[in-house]
Amino acid sequence: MIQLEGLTKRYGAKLAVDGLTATIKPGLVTGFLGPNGAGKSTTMRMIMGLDRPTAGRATIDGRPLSAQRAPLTKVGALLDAKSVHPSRSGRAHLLALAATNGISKRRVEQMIQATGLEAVASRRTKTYSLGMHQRLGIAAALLGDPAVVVLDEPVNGLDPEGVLWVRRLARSLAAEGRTVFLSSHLMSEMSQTADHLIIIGRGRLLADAPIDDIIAGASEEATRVRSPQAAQIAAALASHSVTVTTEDAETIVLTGIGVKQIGEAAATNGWVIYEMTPITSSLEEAYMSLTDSAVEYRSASPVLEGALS
Amino acid sequence: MTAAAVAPTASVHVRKPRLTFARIAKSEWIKVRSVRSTWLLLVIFAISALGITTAMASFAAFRNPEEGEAGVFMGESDAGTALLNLATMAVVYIAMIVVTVYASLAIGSEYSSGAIRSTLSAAPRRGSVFGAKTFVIAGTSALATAVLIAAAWAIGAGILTGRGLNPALTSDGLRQMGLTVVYAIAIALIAVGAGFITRSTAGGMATVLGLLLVLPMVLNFVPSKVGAYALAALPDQAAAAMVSNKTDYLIGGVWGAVAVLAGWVVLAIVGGYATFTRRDA
Repeated sequence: MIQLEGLTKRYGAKLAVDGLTATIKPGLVTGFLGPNGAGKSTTMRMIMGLDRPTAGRATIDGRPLSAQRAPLTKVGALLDAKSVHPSRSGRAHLLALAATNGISKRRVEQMIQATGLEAVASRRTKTYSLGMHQRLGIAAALLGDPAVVVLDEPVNGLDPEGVLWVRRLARSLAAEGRTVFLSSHLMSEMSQTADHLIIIGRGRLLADAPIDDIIAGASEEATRVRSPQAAQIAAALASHSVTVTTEDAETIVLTGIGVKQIGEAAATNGWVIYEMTPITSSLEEAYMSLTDSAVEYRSASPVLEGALS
Repeated sequence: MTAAAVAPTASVHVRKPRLTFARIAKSEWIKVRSVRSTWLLLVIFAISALGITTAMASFAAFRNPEEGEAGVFMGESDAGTALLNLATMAVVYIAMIVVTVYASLAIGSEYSSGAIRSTLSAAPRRGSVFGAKTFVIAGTSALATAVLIAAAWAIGAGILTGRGLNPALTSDGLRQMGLTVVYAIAIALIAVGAGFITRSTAGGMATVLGLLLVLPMVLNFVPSKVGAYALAALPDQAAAAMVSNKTDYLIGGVWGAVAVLAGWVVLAIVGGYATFTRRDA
């Protein structure tokens, strides 16, 4: 379990992380989501004791990482896959890390196999591809069979097979009862991996809830109706609780009324219905609406904005 | 390869995992052994120091005692003292460069590659990491210097014996060799401190080589008394006075020299420690 208590980091005049309080629980994959520059990496560095918080603290099972007897067995982290000496072999890198906590050579070999690095383990890491670096980083993170796993943007730059592998790995680690905390700036990635989401923007907590609640909270019930009598339907159903938006001559979107009531009204009034589709807002939309005011760098051109969204 | 394959078995740990100073030191030892630059520097150190000694011992002119004069070799009538000075000089000059590069690389490359973050994630106790790194770098530098000065003496003695001289190793000679190793340790410590302060291989190397090689040359041209004292206050001058037992060293004789060298070491180590333990990694 990771606990963040009023965690704050200030760089000069800029607050990178602003009073973050959250608990990341075991047995779940907790996604850490936010736009680039929101303070995700800084938060993770503070959990790992690499950056000193300006205020507040981050603890693992009640203690900061530096106070753990065997830190590698408590937390395994992949913050930056390239955090290895380019002239050292992957195996020597793992052996050196394992030695600090007295973890056996056998375990190192086991992790090399589990991450599929057997063929390249003796090569200097400067010859590694990004995917190999990522695997080496994950091997390092899991060396101590840790209770907590922290992964910063673990699928960045991976090929589809690698993405799938990381996703399955995160799920299986959580299924074993571990605390899995992984960051991403991509909501689509989270929707396939995470059980719980912590969303931040400009260093501040925006949401801390199960992924289903976040989708449900952001969605208003909406139904798209296509009918030659669209205008008639709109006039009949519009009220103070039902809003109607007209998409074209025969397509309208109704919010505040369910599919069931629309269907019953159609039967009663004898309306011809070509199409009736419930629209649930996607996680992506939920995320956009949450972080909308918290995006650090906004594209100025509306054309570009349209292209990116 | 499947995700499930990563799930560990319960019996993987032979010993109980625990972070200790000795284990961090072992990790640092694995690190210095597992990069090519360490071995390359060792080869350069050995070839240069032993090569200079061999060449000088073989070809330096001396007057032959069989011609009726006292054997005078390299300005000394005692061949043992002459060889000692020769071996010390060869090892010290090369050690200044090799040990500085070695220590600067060991610290600087961790920062340039980002490996320091991996190190501190596994071993989040900064003081212990600083101590272990310093211990391993200074220890390996001391070991290499001790072996090479002994080898330089042995090779030189063999050559001089072949040339009809009879170099003897005295207790003063052993003291001088020991102090040469102490100087190598001091260089390693100064470079480790500079490495942690600058967090860069080039920065650490430039700082220490500037202090050891460039500043003495510059200050030599400053004529005043201030210049003489400033020159004497440099680590290499203090070390030279300490190693060769120069009782007329400007700042308090031999013990003054020891104090000046120790001052440089303390300055670098305290600065490096404060930087490493306080700044974000």
